[in-house]
Amino acid sequence: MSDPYLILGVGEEADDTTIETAYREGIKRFPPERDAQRFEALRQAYETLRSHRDRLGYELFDVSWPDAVDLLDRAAPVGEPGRPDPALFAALLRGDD
Amino acid sequence: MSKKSRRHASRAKSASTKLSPEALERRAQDDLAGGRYREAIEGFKQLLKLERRSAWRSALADAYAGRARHLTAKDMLKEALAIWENRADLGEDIPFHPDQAALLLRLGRVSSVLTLLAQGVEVPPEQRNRLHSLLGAAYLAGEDGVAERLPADDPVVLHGESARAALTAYCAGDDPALQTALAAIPFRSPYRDWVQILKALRRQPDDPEEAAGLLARVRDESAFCHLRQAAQLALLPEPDFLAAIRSTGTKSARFACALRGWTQARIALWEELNRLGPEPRPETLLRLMYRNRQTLGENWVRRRGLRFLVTGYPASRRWLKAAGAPPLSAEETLLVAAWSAESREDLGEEQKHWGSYARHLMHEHSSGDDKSQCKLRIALALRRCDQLGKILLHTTPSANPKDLDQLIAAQVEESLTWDPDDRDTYLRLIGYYRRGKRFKDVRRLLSKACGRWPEDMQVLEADLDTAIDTGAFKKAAGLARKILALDSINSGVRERLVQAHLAHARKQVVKGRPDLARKELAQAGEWARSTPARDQLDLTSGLITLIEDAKRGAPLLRDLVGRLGGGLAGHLTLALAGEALNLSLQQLFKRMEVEMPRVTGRDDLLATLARLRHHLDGGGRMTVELGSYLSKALARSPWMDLSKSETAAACDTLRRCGLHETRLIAAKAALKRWRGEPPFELHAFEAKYPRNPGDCSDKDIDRLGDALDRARKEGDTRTAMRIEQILADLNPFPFGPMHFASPPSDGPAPPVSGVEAVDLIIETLGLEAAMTALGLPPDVKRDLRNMARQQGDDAVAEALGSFLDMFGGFAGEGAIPPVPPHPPGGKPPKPKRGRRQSRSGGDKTQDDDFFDQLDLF
Repeated sequence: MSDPYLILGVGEEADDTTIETAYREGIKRFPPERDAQRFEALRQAYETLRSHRDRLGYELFDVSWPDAVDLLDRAAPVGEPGRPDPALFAALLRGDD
Repeated sequence: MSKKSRRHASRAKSASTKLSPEALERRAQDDLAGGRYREAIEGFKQLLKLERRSAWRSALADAYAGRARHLTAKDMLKEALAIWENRADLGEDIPFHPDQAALLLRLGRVSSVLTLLAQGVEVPPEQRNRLHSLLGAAYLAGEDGVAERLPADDPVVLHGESARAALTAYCAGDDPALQTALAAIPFRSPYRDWVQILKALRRQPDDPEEAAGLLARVRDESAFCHLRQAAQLALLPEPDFLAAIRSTGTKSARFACALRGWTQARIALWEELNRLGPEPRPETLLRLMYRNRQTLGENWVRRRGLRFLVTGYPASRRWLKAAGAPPLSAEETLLVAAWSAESREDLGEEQKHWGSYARHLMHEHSSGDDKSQCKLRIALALRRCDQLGKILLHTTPSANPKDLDQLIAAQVEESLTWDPDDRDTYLRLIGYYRRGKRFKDVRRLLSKACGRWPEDMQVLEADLDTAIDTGAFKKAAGLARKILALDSINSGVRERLVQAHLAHARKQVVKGRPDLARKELAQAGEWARSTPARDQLDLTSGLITLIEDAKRGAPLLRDLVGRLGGGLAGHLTLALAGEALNLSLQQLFKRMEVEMPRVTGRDDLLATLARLRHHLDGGGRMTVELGSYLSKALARSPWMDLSKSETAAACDTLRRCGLHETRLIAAKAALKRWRGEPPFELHAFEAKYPRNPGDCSDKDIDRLGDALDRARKEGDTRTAMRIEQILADLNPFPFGPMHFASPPSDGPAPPVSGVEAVDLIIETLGLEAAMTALGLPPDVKRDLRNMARQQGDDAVAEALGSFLDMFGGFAGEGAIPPVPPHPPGGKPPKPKRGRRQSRSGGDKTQDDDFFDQLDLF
């Protein structure tokens, strides 16, 4: 995922406070010792969007393409972790994949 | 069997019939070990036709099992089953293989497995548990026949209900019931792996690491392996997960997606993306984004979609039309053009494009609604080139206002009218102008910055540095005091404050106002904390006393020098302090009534060198008087007492000071101890010929050449490169024997052209001597002289050389006309060291035309 808004889980209209809050919550949930990669992504996203000037700079100068995760997360965000239905269990228990 | 396979098999058969049984067996065993099961089956079948040996039958059974597993992996389940049946037909002594049971269960033929078990088929003890697990998995998958046909006390049946209850509870999200059901399954149960998997699935959302640990306990040969793999898939980081589900089975992927909370919409979009392949083209992605613009958001698709156009711009504009999107607006066109310029990494182009974009926005700004947003955009666009090239951070302003750095600086300055609140922009501009000593501009910006951020540390420090730069020491002191009031532990500023007072005090001494100087020193004393700073103040104070009253000052300074360790180092510190007050050394020592001291020992020598380094590092100069004083003082230093690294550092310090004679002494002393050591050979050479290395002897060049070889061998690249550079500058024969050039290539040297030969002769002898050596007639000489005046020696060399080339050139090395002897008693003509500009590099003018030059002859 490369879109810093999606990484922080905030909308594009988010202000400084919202972004900081999202960042703090994110790093609390994913501290570096638990998920270093996620923590680094959160930190970078926060640096990118920290102030209004930064956000405008990102909008003006970031030319990276949205990646597959960006598209998926934007169009159909991941919901709460689910539990597969028994039919899927049965298929995999039979070795039928 | 396909025609191809049949042909292959028959060929193998006909070939193997000619082999002896031993050779046939060896080959079949090799095929079996190498996983070539089909060939192994053929081989052992032939052997069994010769003799029903049990070892061969057993080997054939293994080959069948391998082949069947191979086919199962390729999803050729019916073919695999046929192979298993062939294996079973080999005889009753061949034990039943649980993989056959697994395949039967997968094909839904539970009753076949149970029948086999009921018939008392032989199963090796180590495989019995696996068979039970397989039956348990089948039972959980809904095969009720398992429970009906197995005895009631069979663990598969006994624990089956709890295992099923656990599944129901998990799927229903009833964790307490799940817990209870799992607790009812004992450790030694066919459902052991099932318990681990369900525990892992429950822990997965909250503690993926623990879940991964639980899943790792389920082994690859487990009956629940497929389930474990699907669960592990769900634990991967998102990008890895996307890559993995590309190649995994549909059901595993769906299982993992469900665990991760993927919705149907997400799965559908993923499948659409997946169809584009691993690296879709930008236009394809753009189309996909526009197809899904409802869910992705119209604005977002438009803005992020523009990024795809950078590749192949401006032709890429048509992709928008193909995607059903409106064409680029004027602003978008300028923006994409600027991005495109950035992708070419041409700062000049970028400056123009971002300038154009900003100007467009300025025009829009007059009529736009969202003014503050637009202003900030303009400012950011104007600062973009500096941000990319870091021009203002590192560049010194050039003289020409049309130079790129000046244009960029002007853009950045303009940006402040649109966004005056960016402190960093002020600081960057201030730093840039300070480097160019454009203090008027610096002060203009500083006054604005100080007005906006009166207590900002970086702004205050910039102000302080500028005050010191411009000699406004009083102001500097005031600023440093202000900074320290805000940040009392700022040791850097404390030091700068002391230095500012000290510099101001020195200024007053030079002006003849020792009273004011003392005042400054007293103020500096309030801030000085470090011992070196206090020593500096004491020395300056002592020197002022010496100037005022030599009788009072001399003993004071002698004491001070003693406190500084005495010796040469102490006197050097005093000498440097005296020089800062414009006191000549001779005057100073005369007034102090001291003799010029010598180095007292190893420690004194090292301290002196350290003091010199500190002086040079701080931007200090080495005056002629001090240099000559040090040359004498260091002449008899105990160089032999220093270690190799200390001597190398000493030579380097002496090089920086320009003390060549002393450096030569030090290097020679080092070479006595470390014979041929390349860095010291280099120091010795450079110190021996500090100004004109061209005067060096052949012996010295040879020594340097040997040092180069050794440096290369020892991997001392830095020394090797420095020696190479010296030798390259010395070598006037670019086509001569290249003793010292980079490692020689194989093969003969390239032939020397006439142009090169003439160029060399002119370069070595000068034009006049070269023309005489070539035996040119007087009228040609005259024309060539005119040519040399108008177009330079290169043009003459070119004309003469081309002429020689045309008529066969020099027949060989011996054919080059001999260099005339040196005038009696005179020195040989000195070769020119600098290489002239390449002839091929410049544009050819009409006068350079070869045929025009031929007219000369």
